[in-house]
Amino acid sequence: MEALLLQVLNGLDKGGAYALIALGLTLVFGTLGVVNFTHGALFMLGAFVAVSVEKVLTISSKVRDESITFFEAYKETPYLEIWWGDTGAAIIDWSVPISIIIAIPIMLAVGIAMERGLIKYFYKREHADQILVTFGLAIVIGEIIKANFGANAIPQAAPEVVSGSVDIGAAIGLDGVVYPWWRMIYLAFSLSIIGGVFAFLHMTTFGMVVRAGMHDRETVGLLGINIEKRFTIVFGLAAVVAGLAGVMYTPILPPDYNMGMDFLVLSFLVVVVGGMGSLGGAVAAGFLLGILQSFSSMTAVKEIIPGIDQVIIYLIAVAILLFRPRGLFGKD
Amino acid sequence: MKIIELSTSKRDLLILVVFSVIVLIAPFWGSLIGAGYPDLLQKFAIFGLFAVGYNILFGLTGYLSFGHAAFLGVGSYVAVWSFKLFTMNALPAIAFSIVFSGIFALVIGFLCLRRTGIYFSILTLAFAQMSYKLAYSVLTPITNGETGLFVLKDDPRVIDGALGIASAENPLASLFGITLNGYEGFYFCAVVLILGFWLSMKIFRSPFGMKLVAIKSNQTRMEYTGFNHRPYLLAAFVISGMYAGLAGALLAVVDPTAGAERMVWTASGEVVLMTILGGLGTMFGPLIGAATIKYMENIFSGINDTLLGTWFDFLPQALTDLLVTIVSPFVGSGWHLTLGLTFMMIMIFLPGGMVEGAQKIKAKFFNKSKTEQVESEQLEKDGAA
Repeated sequence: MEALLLQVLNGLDKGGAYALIALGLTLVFGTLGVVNFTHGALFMLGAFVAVSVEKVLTISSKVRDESITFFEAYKETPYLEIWWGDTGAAIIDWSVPISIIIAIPIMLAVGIAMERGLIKYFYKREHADQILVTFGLAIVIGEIIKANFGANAIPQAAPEVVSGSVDIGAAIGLDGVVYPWWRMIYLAFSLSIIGGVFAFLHMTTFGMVVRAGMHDRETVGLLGINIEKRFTIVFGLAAVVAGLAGVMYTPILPPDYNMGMDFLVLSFLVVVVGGMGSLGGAVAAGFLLGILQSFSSMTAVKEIIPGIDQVIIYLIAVAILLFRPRGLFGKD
Repeated sequence: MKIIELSTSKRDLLILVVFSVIVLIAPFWGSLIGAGYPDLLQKFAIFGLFAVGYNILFGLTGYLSFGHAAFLGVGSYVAVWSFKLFTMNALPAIAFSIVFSGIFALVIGFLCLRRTGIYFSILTLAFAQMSYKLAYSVLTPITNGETGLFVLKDDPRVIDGALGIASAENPLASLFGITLNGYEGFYFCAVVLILGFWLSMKIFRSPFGMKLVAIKSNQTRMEYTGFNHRPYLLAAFVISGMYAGLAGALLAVVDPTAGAERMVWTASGEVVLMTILGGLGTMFGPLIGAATIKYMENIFSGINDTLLGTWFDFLPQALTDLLVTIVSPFVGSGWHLTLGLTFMMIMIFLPGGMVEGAQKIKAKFFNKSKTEQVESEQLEKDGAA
């Protein structure tokens, strides 16, 4: 029971990341009809916004270390700590959450620039062309990151307060269900972002127009609404969602320039399982596949079917594509 | 873009002869561009073959597969196993690789071709990633996992044993006594490449190839005329899978190892890049693309700041420094950046790749494009007859 609960929890935070990336992917596909292979790179870009913010915050200078008295010792101290003492140290400690605020405008700008600068010209081309050009762009973005940050993964720390673990089991009378705080926060964060996106699409006039455009772009255009402009903003929104997923994922997985490609494949499978263009499907499939993946990595399961943890997502995606091509929740 | 060109068998023969000569004197023109060493020339030939085969699927039918590296990987593994179990002779290894990758492609193709467009791409991607992950984990007894598969001195090698061929310390593939490394290895690959190119040309000119192009241009119409396209697509898929397996076997021939990293999906992406960069659906394009990318990978990646400095040395110092700063992110370890940018430029401005670019330039200067010329020749002939 404890083990099962732990696996569900383990699956949920990974599922949260899958769901967030897949949500953006399917949003772009549903509105613009574009298959965006750059989406994984946007996730990675978000993670590197967090890395850069931390770098900027910890710009330091050498300060005399007064605890050592025998000789003149110097240590690197960030300017923030020199100026503001403990407040500065706290700001550095909270660099990942702070990155969220900075990532939003950056990712929005990147997304809009991408759509206006490149994707726009590919609406009328085949899906294969869209896949290829965005694949090329993903390589370019990855290489730019590699040139600036190196090829090694750069670990990021969660704020001190939430870097420990929480004993969830104690609350519901089970033993040994200990779970890192940050993963709980990631889950809550992804749920609130998903909720935010759905609220935006269903409760605002802008969202209503976008949904109408997803159903019938031509009619919305004929009604005198500039649907293209709105879809551009939707693309920016998808970039923000992917970027935020990346920012918050940094304490869980140290980012490197290649992480986008890994997540891209998985989140494409998530989109396919959920049903291309179905937002709810993408979210549900994201969590579902995340949980299934962590279940399949249990030793008990691996003993029955060896290697299942490596391929479960692919197997499910293949089965869905072959037997139910519109996905679990897709409409015909 | 015109895929099916009208051509005569005489012209085809000429093309084949010219092509063979170009390939066989590769060590000569290779040395002019700094690529005159066997390792790189072997890669030109092997990846050229891979791309030629991939082009039969993607170029002719328009089905974008993101999983062909899996067949390459299978080909490599099978070849190395043939080296381990039977003989170091390259021919059985190649035969086994083609057969096994063909069977593998038949199974995967049968399943994947039930879907079209992006769903087909994702299916092939999923199958390839699955093979990659399995090769790393559960299939370790066969693939030797992360370490990769090697040929050892005390492998059984039944046939070699029966013929009384002694096992060397570091066994190398051979062809009836000729060790296939260095230039011998290159010439072996070159001959296989010429054969592969000849077969691809035959397919381009055949009614089969014509049907594949017809599927690409309008699949629905082909269906409505009562044409069952599936066997043709499957055949194209299997043929291109066999080419990939053959390329994988050649990789194992020139260097008897195999590893799972050859199967990862970005490796499949590379062959897509090669095909598009050179010219999708053209006979020579994939070869040009493969050679370009392998050339960049080996030559561009070796350029560093010091070397750049000597190139721009004739300029004033400040200008030299500026140029080095501008150029250096694009060479050396950043060559992928150049590749990505070039690829995007090609996708945006020149979807037909370098071949289309060459044709455009030619049309500009000679006022008549190549295809038109052939057409008019054909018309003249028809008129004469």
